[in-house]
Amino acid sequence: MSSFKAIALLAVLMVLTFSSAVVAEKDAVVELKTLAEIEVEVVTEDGEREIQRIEAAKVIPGDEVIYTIHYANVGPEPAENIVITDPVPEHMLYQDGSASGEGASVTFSVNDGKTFDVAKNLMVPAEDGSERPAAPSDYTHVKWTLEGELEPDEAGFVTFRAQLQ
Amino acid sequence: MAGGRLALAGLFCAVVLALAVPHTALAAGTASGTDIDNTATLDYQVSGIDQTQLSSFVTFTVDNKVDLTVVAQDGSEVAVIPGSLFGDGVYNVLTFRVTNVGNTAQDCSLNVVTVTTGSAAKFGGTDAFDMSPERAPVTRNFVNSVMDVAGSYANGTDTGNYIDELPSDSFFDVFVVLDAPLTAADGEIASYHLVATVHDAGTGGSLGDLTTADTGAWNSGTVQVVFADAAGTATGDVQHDGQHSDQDDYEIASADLSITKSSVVVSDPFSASDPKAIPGATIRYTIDIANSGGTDAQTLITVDQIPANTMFVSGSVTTSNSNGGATITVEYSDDGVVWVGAETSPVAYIRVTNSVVDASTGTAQITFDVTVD
Repeated sequence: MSSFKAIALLAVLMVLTFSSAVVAEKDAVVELKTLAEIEVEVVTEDGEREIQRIEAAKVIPGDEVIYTIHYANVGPEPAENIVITDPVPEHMLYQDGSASGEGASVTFSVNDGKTFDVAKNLMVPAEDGSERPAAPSDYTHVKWTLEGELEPDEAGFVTFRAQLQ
Repeated sequence: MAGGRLALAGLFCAVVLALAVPHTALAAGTASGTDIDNTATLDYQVSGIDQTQLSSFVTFTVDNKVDLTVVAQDGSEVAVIPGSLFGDGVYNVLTFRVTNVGNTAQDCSLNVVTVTTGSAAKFGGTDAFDMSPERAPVTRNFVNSVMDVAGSYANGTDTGNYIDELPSDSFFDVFVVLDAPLTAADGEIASYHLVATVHDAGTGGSLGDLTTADTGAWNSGTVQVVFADAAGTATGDVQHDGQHSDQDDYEIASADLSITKSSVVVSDPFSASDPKAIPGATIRYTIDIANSGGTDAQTLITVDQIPANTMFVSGSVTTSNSNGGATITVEYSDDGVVWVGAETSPVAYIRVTNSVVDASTGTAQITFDVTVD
């Protein structure tokens, strides 16, 4: 978190330095950046094994990809009612319990983003025509609703994991 | 040859193959080269006023997961008869299935590796001999590229020596067809590994280049190769090496015959009991044949020469066989060359033919009497 904030602040400074004329035209500017990463086990110089995250470049079926959506308020005004929506990509399955975000409530869609609800309320058509509770693999979209305001220079991120089929 | 046993083994193989047919979707996964795109959106307000929606895009390309399995399809040792030869139209077949469980079409090269004598066989026991010659494995219906169909070996049709363009989730059956040496004994095992190695699909109709894993820097925009195969049975076939292997066994199914001859003095002209082998005495010879092997012995010909200084007792030949259905023929000869069904004059040789002596302790017996000159 803190390191990201430092990066975000650096980004702010860069924006202010090089793009101040453009930024000044708007009251609030929120920046958004998505990362797709995978975890790899590496052996450090000390011989310790540790899990590192790297850009999702070498991905084969069965691998889990971590999507992280970073947001930052680089404008002068607070941003309110922030809602972030991310579809679970085609060929991928949402991993149960993986969606999170500080100060965010998470809901899901099982109908291509038409409606969202908390996990326990979601139903999908069963094979026999009735409805059954949705499984995580049924989720099509993830939505994070941020509580409170995002003050200028504030930043955060939300995340979820999905497995490549 | 012992056709019954071979046919039985063939039938058993067919049953195993039939059971293996309903191969479920193996879910090799998303095809390599597929771009997985993701666009996140963010909506927000400033001072209660909706602002323009933001979006953020990220993508990666699915890489080539190289994964294959080799699975022996024989449920037990394949029974073979000593001296059964490919050239004589006897096909001693080990059947393996090579399945592409990766996400990209691949070629496969195929190699047979003999198990070292004394090392463990697949179905128990140890390897005791080698089949011959080192004939390369062949793929099923290669000419017609029939995939995903189980079948038994067809000589002349199943001729491919590598697997061409095997799609994701498809299999090809591979046959190892070798000759059994005449010297191998009943119950001895010859064990083999089939090793399949992944090659690039390349151009159809030819074996592509050996596939190598990309160990260099990751690149999100290109398809890279990742080996995901499990370790196989062959020595050195570790996981993630782009090859897989399984083991299968031949077992010699042969008769194991013993023959013993004994004699007893039945009578002499002077003794009321405990007769002795003096001139004029009658000697009874008994020949016992036993099969302790796992396979019926067929067309057993036993020849005996009437000993010098004795005379065959007319009509004294008796025969028996533990198999009541066996056909037993008795013939006679005065020179050991020409054989006839009636007693010759003199009877210098006796020849008895048993059509069969059953596997697993089947027996046959022949007796005849002579008098001492």
